[in-house]
Amino acid sequence: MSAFSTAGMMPHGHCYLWDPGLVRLHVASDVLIAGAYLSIPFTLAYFVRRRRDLPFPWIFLCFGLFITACGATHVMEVWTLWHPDYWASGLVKAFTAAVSLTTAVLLVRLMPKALALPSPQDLSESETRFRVLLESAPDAMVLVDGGGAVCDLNSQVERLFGYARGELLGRPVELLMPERFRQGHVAHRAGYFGEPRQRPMGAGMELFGRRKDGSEFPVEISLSPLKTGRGAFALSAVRDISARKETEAALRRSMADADAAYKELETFSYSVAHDLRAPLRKIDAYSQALLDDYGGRFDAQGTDFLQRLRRASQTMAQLIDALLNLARVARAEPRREEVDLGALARSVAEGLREGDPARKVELVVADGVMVQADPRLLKDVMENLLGNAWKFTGRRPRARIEFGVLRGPGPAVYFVRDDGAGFDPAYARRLFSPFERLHRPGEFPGSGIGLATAQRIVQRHGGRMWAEGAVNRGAAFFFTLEPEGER
Amino acid sequence: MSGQPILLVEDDEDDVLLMRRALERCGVANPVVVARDGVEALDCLFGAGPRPAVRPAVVLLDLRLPRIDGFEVLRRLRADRRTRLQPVVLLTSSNEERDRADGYGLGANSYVRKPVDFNEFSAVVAQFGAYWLGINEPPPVPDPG
Repeated sequence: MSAFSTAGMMPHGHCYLWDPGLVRLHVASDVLIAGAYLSIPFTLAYFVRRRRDLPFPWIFLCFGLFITACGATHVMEVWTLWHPDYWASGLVKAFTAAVSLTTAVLLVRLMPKALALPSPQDLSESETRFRVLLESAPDAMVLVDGGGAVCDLNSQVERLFGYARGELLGRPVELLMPERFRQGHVAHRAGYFGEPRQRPMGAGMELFGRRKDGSEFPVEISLSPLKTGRGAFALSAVRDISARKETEAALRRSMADADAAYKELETFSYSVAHDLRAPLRKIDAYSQALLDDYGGRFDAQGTDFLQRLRRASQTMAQLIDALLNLARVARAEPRREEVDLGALARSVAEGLREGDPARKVELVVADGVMVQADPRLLKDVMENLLGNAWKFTGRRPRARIEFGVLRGPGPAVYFVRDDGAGFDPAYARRLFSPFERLHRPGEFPGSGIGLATAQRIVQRHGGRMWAEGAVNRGAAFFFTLEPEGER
Repeated sequence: MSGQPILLVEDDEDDVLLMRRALERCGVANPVVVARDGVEALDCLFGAGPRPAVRPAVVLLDLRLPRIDGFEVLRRLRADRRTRLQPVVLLTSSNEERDRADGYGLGANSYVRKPVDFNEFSAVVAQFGAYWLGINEPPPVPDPG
């Protein structure tokens, strides 16, 4: 260690020629500087410990080390006045230099981040924004800390729960819920802070709030975690759902009523089928029996009356069947499969032609019209629409009936168009009401239920049906098979 | 025509009368035994008390009957060895698909919805008469010469 020997060197005091005043001045100054420097790290340590939320706490460590080293150099200054340990003093200085340089460099590199720190003014602005947001939220908002204490709230909370702000701040959030939930909530709350994420509270559970007056109301709560330097918080948005619950209950009641009505309708249809048809059968049969057994005793008018009696009973039977069919499709759940609507139209039209081969009707049917629909129900629709077209072109020497499709934006529109008797457009809507007839019964036969049935079937598929026409200018019936706005 | 009876299970007086007329109209001469409800029908088929069991050519069965309904009668017929193959035609007002499916599911030979038009009804009766009564007839003797 001869390289670090200080043998033969003089204490530093010699440089001051041991002038007592000069030596005292240096000693006093160095001791005061060292004392001050060495006290600073303690203050910094205290500050860092108290302000856990400080950004970059390591820079405070650097400063503490740097200032301690500086203090040490001044201690060495005093020491070397009497002891010529200049190597030791130099080494302390060198250490101080290293620590200072490091701190200086780190400080420069920290600058951009430090500059990005919000200023107290920024913070107050953001506090204002937070308050405005909190107040403008439609829900009651409660900020709760990790210990379950209410830290902040908006005025909606005061209104909803009937507490004043001051009565809630710092109090446990459990104050806002019915007693029976409080104990459980403490555990839930601890669990939430263990794994905080945004979520609705109590999925699948009925949640209730409790007002200051003890009354309860159903609520929906959504939780958002809020992690800050001062710890974890949960921001909960509480919504009073009494009105919704009431609506839901009313809806459930109506559904149950509708269900009961459907069941009743089903029973009703069943007994209509049996009990209304049976007397008709008898009226018809006994009329026929009169014709068979006593035919000779009736004159032409008597026979005609009996025939009319039979026709009337058969018309009524058809009406009953049509009504039953309407009731059936009204509750039918369509079973969708691929249907060739063009082919269906063609086969229905063939059937009509066979029933009335003398008619001269030009049939134009679009090919390749594939749809996803219930084939049996759709056959009803086509039978009704084409049957109508056939019927209402009956007085034309030559008629034209067309089935086709219009494609554009939105669902495809299918149509059946004829050049027959048409109808007054003012009554276009009434066409679809059961028993609504726009022609005198003698003019065209029919139950008046067919279009109502067809429209109901289309509606059961999510589509709609409408008509266009003019008197003696033909009619066109349009329908879709899926809701608007899909695709 | 053979003398094997037809068992008509029907509670409605008028319907019994009209069925007799329809059968008569199509020239079915078989005697018609009438049961007014399901219990009577089962008594007829299986014999009850001193009454011997009837072996009808065909059972014309209404569905809605007092005491035991038509479905139950049919079920019991099919469950018994003696009547398992007994021809049964369901004659009903119901056009409910469920009834039709249930009827066939229980082993009805035929399901007929009574038409309102009496002439149509007669035609239907003639049809099943020819079928269920015809096949029970001995084959016609070929005319020599």
